[in-house]
Amino acid sequence: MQSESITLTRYQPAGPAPLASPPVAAPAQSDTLLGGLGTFGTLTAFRTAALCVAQGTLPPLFSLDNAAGLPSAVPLPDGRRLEFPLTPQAHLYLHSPDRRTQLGEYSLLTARYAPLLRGLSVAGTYRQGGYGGGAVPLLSLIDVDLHIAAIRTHVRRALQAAARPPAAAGGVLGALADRASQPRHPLFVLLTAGVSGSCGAALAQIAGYLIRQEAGRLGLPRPTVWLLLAGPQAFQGLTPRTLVNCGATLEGLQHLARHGIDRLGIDGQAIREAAPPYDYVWLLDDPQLPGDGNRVTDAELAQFSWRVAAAARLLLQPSIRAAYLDHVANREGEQTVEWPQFGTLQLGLGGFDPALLTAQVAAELACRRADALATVLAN
Amino acid sequence: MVVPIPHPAADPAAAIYTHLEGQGFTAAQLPRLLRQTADGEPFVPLQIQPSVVNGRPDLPVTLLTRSDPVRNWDALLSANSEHRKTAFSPLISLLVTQYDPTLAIGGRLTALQEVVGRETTALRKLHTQQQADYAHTCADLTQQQRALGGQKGGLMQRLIDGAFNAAKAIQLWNLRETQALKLDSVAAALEVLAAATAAIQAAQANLQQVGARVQHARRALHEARATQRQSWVVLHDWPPDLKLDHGRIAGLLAAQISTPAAALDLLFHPPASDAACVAALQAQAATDAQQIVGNLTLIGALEWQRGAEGLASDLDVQLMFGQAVLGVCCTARSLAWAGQPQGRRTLLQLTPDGQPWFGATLDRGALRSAGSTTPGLIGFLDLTEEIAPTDLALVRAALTALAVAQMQQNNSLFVELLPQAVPGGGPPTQPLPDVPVYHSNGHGPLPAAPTAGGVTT
Repeated sequence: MQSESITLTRYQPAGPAPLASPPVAAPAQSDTLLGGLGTFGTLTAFRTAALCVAQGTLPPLFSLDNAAGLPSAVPLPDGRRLEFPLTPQAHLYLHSPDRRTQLGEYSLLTARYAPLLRGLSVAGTYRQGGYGGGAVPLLSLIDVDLHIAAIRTHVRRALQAAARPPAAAGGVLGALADRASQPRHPLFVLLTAGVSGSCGAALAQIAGYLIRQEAGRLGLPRPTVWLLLAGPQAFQGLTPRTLVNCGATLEGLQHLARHGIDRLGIDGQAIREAAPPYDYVWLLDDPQLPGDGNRVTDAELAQFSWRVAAAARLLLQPSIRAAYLDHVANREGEQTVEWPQFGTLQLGLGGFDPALLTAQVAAELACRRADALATVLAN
Repeated sequence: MVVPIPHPAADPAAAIYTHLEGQGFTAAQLPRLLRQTADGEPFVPLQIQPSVVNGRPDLPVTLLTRSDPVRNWDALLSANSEHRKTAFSPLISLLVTQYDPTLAIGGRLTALQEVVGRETTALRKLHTQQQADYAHTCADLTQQQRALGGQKGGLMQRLIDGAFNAAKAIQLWNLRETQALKLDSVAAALEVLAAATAAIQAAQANLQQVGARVQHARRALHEARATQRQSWVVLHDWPPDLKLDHGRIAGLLAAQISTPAAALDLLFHPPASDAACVAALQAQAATDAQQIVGNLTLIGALEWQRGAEGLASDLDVQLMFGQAVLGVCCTARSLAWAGQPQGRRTLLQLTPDGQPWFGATLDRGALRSAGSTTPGLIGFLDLTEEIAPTDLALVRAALTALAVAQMQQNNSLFVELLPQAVPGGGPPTQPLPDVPVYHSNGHGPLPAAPTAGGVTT
């Protein structure tokens, strides 16, 4: 069943009207953190950053993935290219060349995964995913468990970068300055991931908890963490696992939303929290894909990624969140759903891109002037 | 600088003269303007005022007997001349840009040179005449000065003798200062026109070389535009979904701008290389493009689009565009519900300044507005919350697919979700059955390991 169709009218101030959001101060860069989980989530986070750069800002960014071969840059509409920060400071590569053997080295993980690996052959354990699924989220969850210490460090570093300016003086005064620069407001953390992949799906299960736990250890206020899950229809036809992985991802998240988490890591640290993993989980998909009805093309996938990135950029904007939260702050009646933090999101944009139009006008003007000059200089 | 397209004049030389006259570069105006002070007032040279003290004429003899004019205008003339020389190159650019754009620039430079040459000739004639007048005045004044400086008797005696006429001497002295000022200003004006002539000649000399460079630049810029168009096509993935016709609007915007006079600076400062010529033209175009697009609003762009498509003026293009963005780009992509639509809906209309453009009534929520901080865009963010994943048809299909896949192998991420686990997600109460788990070499089940205390997931 489809959603209701909405007919717009021109806004009439005297009549029943949509409310304008209250003015919100320009977002401070230290108040937000953008994270990409898995290949699709990482690419989309980078594209979100590209859109932010086009607007003159760049939020702190971190990403995690177990697949190699990410592109190194994304083009901007004015012809420049934004280099992906595939540095150890920004991107953590969860490299597990022999995860099955490594698993056997930890009794904790051996016991955890013994029942879970039912039916998975050794050969099947080495399947790699990337950009839309193909591998098994469960296998990527092994990578997450194997790299939990590095993931913690990576998340902590990202939180520190987002929470205060990077340059801090040393010594007592530096420490005081550090304390003074702690944000008074909680960080807003937005994570992007594909719902049908493997690494993004696995990381999505624990990333929210890890972020809150590490923020607490850093003495930061409890951050607000939103998860933007993309798919599954947009990945349709890429692999036979598109729907299965989506089901496993949402099943896991729903389980955590109902029971919380109590999970010991091989680093000896436990994640324990009787809370849902995220403040909000948004599902963003494109049911119109694939265009041919069978398999999404690379172009369609890239376009979808940009769409998700555009939505992520908007969610990073405090005024957008304020307008939304202002609306949902006073719910009427009791919530009857068991997972109130789950929702769907869709975005439509229209108009012109100033950077692209400027580039086109400049090219047009340069050509016209060269034409005119060539004509008048001809004789 | 953005210059409006001029109306071509029938006679380029006459039009050029008119413009030169408007800027004060004619023989009749230039000397007078060079004599103007910063306040725009004419400079007044030093003048001796006749005075009488105790019934006797009080003469400033030292001043009156100066062999040369005082010339306290030198600094003024020098500064004004330099200013005029500097202003002439842009003026030439403007003059050759405006008026009959079809006329080749070489012809226009020739016409300009002719006009400047005529003005120079007129100034020289004036200079010659003024020199003669000045010489005559100097001769008369010298005669008076000699009479005043003679050895026979005192001043009063010479006055009585009639050899020295104080009033006449003062008049001649004042006239000499005035004439010297005019003469110097005409000489300065000739220098200005000489500099202008040199600039024109330099431009003519550069014409061939610059012409060749511009031809190269033209080819390079057209190729660059074609290449950029390819990249723009590649970038079609960029938001927004519903794009105005950037190429068409860019063409219309660019057509409103004439070739700026600054472009002809190339004639006076020839680029050192073909690449420098391209870069100069691109830099000018980029500056102007930023200014043009920086002032363009979405409403303005929609009007350009309306004009490009020849749509009626009474058509509400804003509403039409908004409805299309909402319908085609947003709600048409909404996920299908498994049953009746659920949840609480917030439809945010995103406008450049956050002010609402549209109104609408929703069954399960409200339409609100927020600022997108993105100039040139409007949008709709459709959020529905307070739903269970299983409210969505696609998620139900995914969970069904998961259930089917579970028959072959486990895909669930947590032990509690395995079929053996206690319904409701609690820890398993029964020992899990042996499952075929193998080492990486494919041989032998993994030894059972105790679960860590309290760890359930």
